[in-house]
Amino acid sequence: MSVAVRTPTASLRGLTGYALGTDHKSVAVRTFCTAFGFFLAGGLLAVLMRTELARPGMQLTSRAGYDQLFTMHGSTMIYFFVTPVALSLGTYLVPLQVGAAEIAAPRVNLVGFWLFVLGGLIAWSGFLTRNGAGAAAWTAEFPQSGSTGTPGEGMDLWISGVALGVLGTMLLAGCMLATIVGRRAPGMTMLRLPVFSWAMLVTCLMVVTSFPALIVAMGGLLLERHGVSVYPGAYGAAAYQDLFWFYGHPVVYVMFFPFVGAALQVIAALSRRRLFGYKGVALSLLLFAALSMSVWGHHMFTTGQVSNDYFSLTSTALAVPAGLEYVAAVGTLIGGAILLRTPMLFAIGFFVQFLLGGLSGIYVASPPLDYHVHDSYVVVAHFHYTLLAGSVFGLFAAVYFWWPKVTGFMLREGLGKLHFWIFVVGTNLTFLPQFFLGYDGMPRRIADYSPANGWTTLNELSTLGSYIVALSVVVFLVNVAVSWLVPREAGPDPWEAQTLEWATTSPPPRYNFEAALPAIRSAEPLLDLRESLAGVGAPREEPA
Amino acid sequence: MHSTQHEFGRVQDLYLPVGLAVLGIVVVAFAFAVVRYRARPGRVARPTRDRNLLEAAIATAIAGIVAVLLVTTLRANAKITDTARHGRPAFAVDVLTYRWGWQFTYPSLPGVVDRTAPNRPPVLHVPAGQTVRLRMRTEDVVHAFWVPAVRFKADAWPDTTRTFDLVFPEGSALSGHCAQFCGLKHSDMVFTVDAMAPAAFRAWAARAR
Amino acid sequence: MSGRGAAGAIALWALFNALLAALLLGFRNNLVQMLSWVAAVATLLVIVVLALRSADPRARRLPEASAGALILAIAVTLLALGAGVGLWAALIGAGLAVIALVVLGREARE
Repeated sequence: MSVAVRTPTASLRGLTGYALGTDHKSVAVRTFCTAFGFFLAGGLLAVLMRTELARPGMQLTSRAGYDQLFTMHGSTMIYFFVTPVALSLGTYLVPLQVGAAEIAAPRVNLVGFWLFVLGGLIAWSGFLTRNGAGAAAWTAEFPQSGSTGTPGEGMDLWISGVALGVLGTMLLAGCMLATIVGRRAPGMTMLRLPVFSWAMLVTCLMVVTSFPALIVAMGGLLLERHGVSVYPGAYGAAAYQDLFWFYGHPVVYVMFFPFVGAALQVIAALSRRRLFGYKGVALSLLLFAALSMSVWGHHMFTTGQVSNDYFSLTSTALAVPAGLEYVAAVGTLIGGAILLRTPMLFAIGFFVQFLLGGLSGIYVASPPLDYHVHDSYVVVAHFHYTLLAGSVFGLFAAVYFWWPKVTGFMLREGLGKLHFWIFVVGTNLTFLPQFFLGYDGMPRRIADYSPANGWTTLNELSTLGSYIVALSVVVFLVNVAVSWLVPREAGPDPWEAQTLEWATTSPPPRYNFEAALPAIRSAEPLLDLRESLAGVGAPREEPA
Repeated sequence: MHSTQHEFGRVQDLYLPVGLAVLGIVVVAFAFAVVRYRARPGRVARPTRDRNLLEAAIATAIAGIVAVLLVTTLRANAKITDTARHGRPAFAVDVLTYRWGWQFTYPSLPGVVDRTAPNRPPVLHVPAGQTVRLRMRTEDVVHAFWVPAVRFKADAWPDTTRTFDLVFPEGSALSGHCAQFCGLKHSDMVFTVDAMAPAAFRAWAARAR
Repeated sequence: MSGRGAAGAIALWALFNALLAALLLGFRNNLVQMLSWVAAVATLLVIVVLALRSADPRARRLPEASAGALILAIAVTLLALGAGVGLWAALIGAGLAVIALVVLGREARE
């Protein structure tokens, strides 16, 4: 394992530790908590939006206010919640899973964390300006996002904040990548890397290759708003979108792969067997991630500015690697001894509900279909199924599973199951109606609609669903509070899991492993250890 | 005769059943696994054996489905977008979009203008059941012309004239929306389409002139 | 472990990307699209080279805290704000960046 010297000379407590501490575990927890705070803030905006849209007429806010609501909701969720929270799982777990004492370049990692925090705060500070916060959607299409379309400092603050946040996440990903490349413990070949770390590897590769495009796009937009003609005419408007979406599509996979890895890890551990099709998963993750770099033009099908043929080809091809991941999940469950604990419920919920998002994604990957449903509530339903009903379920699978490792105590099972079921009801009630609304002709990003459209009932149902989602989050927070106030100690390996992070104390010591690591002869070293002690089994059998 | 809603319907007639079938298969697979292999006293998990051939077969099957979907999609898209194949249009409309409204003018009817007025969305007058060629421009930002009844939308792009053909079903008030966020009154940027049978259309054209 | 195994995986990924980029050449494409992709593949090749050269780390001193990191983050933030908010922010940011780099240099040498 990688070596560490130097016992801490100054103990880190309180504010100093929060601001300056470089331990990757501490940075990860701070990233997670900050991102979760943005989740709550962005979720509040969503509840306000849904309350406004439940009925025709403006009950809560003005059109200008609503434009800020949906812009900041989407921006907060994508730039400042799901992306950083997904990376934070890796910041914590990757060094542990590969048997390292610390992440690579810990100071760079800390810079990344602070850029993310400052970026988010700056974007939100737009609410304090005269014209309000950014109001050109999370995508800030040009010319609408220019100084004529969206005047005011709030939009400039949004641009700077978003660029900083994205830069911060790039640094977090870079350190993780370097750790996987160069800090693996002896014996951990790439084909013995745990599946979650494989998922983080491709995630970080997408981050470092696609996120720079966003920074370029935002830099150009800022200059454009201050008198420099960066995006002129037809060519410029297309160039902005090509740059933005070169980032904007891979980012949605950055918000997906870590949770696939986590859910597969949970399914394997709580089925009591090794992951099925490990090599297939590794290969399909590489293929899936490469394809995801090649599909961005499907966001531009209605513009007439890109090759719809090429992008529909690559977008539809995504079904192949996606299918292999599902085969791995089902193939691991079959033949197992399945424990339906809370992490397992969320992991299965993730796969099943994400599928509605994924299949509706194949639907919109067809231009003749997309010409109708693009920029309608069909698309809103599609990406909320992938992100909220999908990725966030995967997030909670990871949270319930690794919570004891990070904190040393368990989350309550009963409250966890209650959280799960309320969340299932809430997400489906909110977003299933939106497929029908969009198909019937309801555009997205509208503050109001006419009662003559006949959309009121479905909107009311969707709004009710959003309140139920909010309730489920409250149940989770209650679970956290109760579990913390009356803690039940977890021990090093409460789940009888398979990978190296479970071979140390909960929480791990400063340099992760105090005792010697078990021998690494597969992707499941703890399972190997357990089986050899019991005198049974063997590492994964190769087919005859 | 092509039409966007006809092509849409043909593609969807393939995509929806395939999608629902996949959804059904996956849900049943998970349900089966969870019920059949639930932990019970005495149950021991089977050691994992990779089945590379099975995985390759499944990947190939999915690739086959993808190929079928793509062929249908690419063919339908070609029919929709290749205006040269649509024959001579029966009627032409010039569409101008701006923040925040629509202006429809008709090259064959000089002087006839349908334009957004305060609190009154404009009416787009067209013959039903015949190819209408629309040429769309924008005065400012990107807008989008969407008539759900024809299952089609197109973006109005800066410094560009966007040409597309539509065949409207008969209807006196088909709804139309701007479908690209364009600022404050994006929600209000609506219009209706009055698609008339041939006799009624001729009568309207005569009156409008 | 040496970085060779990871270099192989990353090189494979770079190949997938290059193939998909090459495929786009057969369809309507534009300069921004192709440049974005070339930049992406070039970045990957740099990472592959770095990965091949990475070896098991010698004993290294791990930090507990880094004030330099926080100062650098604030400096970069002010520089970014300067473009929109005003030159004063960028100037303060530039100054802080110098301080940050000095502090980080001293931290690294401890």
